[in-house]
Amino acid sequence: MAESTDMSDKYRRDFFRLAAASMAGAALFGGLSPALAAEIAKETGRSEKPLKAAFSNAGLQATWCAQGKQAAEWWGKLFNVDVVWFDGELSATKQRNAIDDMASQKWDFVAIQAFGIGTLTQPVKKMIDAGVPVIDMDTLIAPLDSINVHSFIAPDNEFMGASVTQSLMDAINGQGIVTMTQGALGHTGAQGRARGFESVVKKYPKVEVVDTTPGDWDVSKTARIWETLLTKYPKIDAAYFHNDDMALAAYNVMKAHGRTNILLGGCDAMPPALAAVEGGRMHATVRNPSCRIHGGAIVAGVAAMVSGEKTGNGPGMIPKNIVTDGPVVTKNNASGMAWMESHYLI
Amino acid sequence: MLAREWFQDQLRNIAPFATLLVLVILFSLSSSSFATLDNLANILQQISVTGIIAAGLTFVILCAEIDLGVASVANVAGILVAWLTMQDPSVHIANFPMAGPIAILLAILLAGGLGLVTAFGLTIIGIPSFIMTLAMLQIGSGIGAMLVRGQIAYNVPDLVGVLGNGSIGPIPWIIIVAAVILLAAHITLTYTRFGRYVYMVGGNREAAEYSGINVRLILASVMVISAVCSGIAGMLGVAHFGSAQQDEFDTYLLDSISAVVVGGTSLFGGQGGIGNTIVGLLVLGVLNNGLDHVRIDSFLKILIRGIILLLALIINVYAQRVRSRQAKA
Repeated sequence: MAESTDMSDKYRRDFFRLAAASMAGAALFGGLSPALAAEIAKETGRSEKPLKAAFSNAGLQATWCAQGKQAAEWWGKLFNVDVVWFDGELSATKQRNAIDDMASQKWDFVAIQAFGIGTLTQPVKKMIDAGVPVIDMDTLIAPLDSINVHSFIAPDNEFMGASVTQSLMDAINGQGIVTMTQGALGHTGAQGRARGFESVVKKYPKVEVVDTTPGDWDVSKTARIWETLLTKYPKIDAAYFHNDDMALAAYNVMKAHGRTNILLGGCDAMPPALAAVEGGRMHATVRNPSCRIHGGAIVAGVAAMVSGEKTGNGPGMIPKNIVTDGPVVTKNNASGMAWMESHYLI
Repeated sequence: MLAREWFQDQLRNIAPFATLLVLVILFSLSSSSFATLDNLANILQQISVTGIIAAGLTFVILCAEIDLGVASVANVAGILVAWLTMQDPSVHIANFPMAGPIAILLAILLAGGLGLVTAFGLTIIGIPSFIMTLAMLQIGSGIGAMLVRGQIAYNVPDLVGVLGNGSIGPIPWIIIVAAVILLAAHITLTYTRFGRYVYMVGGNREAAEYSGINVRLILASVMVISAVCSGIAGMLGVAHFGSAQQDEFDTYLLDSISAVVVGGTSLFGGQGGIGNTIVGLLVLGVLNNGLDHVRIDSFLKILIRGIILLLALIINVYAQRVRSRQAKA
């Protein structure tokens, strides 16, 4: 009997978890009785009362950030969180003003991806001092030992750089002429990706790196760089780019020059890059899991508010630093990745 | 008839003020967190750096010139003052630390020096200010990039740190500094011979020359004033935002020009002043801040800002035409 009760409890829990995790779940909750909704909330960690969260990322002009916003809002609906957005507009000073405005209002929790390290420290500290859990996404707001954020959810940029470079090295059999088009040099993500690239390349003595000019995440600048590179070097075997947008911009230049034999590696695995990988225009990219980072921030914030989850390494606590993983994407797994992204799962 | 003429004559001043009032009322009604003392301090703080730059830029625009290098000069001065300050070992910048007052002086001298180069190009070589300051934008950006080489510096001299990020009681020092600079600029433009010359050069350059005014000297002076104001803004901005990095202040170029023009200072020179610039700063400050206090689509905010800027420009040009017609009549 007891076993039967345990089993039915288990099935009920599974059912509720499945319901909560399904896309239809969010719409379904509106039609449930309050008692059942409360039980679902209890089982899934969903907040019974609507929570109010403020989010900001570097700038919605960037497709990665726009996808993150969609993911945060989707996960927010699922967990009963009203997400209010403060766009960083790809400007450190504009984001600072937006975060100042955020700090002058009341929130249950906030999540921020800083455009510039160190520029948001003061208003973020103000919110932390007021008892608001602040989740740091993707880029450091300030060094972790200097600011008491609830958790820092970010990818391992060095791993991403290394893994996609390794895929390129395998494809060119560890020899040839290679380039790296970097993001903005001051960006910690770009610095990590460059370290990852270098750590792999140095293992291959027959590989010559002929250029590492930064494209600064700017597609027109990248196109200019590649006009020069194609003129300067009659043979390039592989090229690594710190993001997909730059890789695709360079591909257009290569196509115009009839040099599409260069193997391209990108970073972020955004939908256009997945299509390019599937179509053979890019060799590989690596997923920087925007949905997992932004959705994870919702889950972390809700857990802090609903079950009082604190920062720490013990059971029932959230670690100060969470590394979000993202796999290398090649033709083999590109369509699966596209499906997961369309459902805000990675 | 007189009232209508007065209204047309004052349209340039009335329209921005009316815009400000409408925005304040609108946001106060839409959000309970907008009309608070805490948020007023927030708005004033947010417009302080722009205000210091705009104070200098007002001199330039009153002379019917433009300075596209303001944000770049601000950035390089901020970077230099940090570059001349001892940084944490984790900051990988090959810098040259020295005493705080010397670092501040050198940063102001650099800004002033860049202003002098602009003045030389404009008044001696005869390069239009639009082109000359476009070159200075690149030069300032290049010097900044050379100094930090993609890295970020955090420390600034104590005095800059206090003025940029400290408070006296509840009032942030940066608001006081901006207010003092705007007041000094207002007094200079309104009550000094130099100020009158600025208006004369902007209003009718030929007439000013025939009146014996050294137009080149006035133009050179306003370019240096603009650069020095930008330099001060850059240093305080670095302290306020907590870091010095490449291209950090790029958005201040459009913001400061917008503040001057939205306030009602004529892009054609000779009309307007610091009072207009203050109203323009408040319009932009309230608009940017208020949009963050109401629930509105993030993508729509940018469009709304653009539309209000366009309306202000239309009023500016319309008011100019009305005044010209009245003058001819």
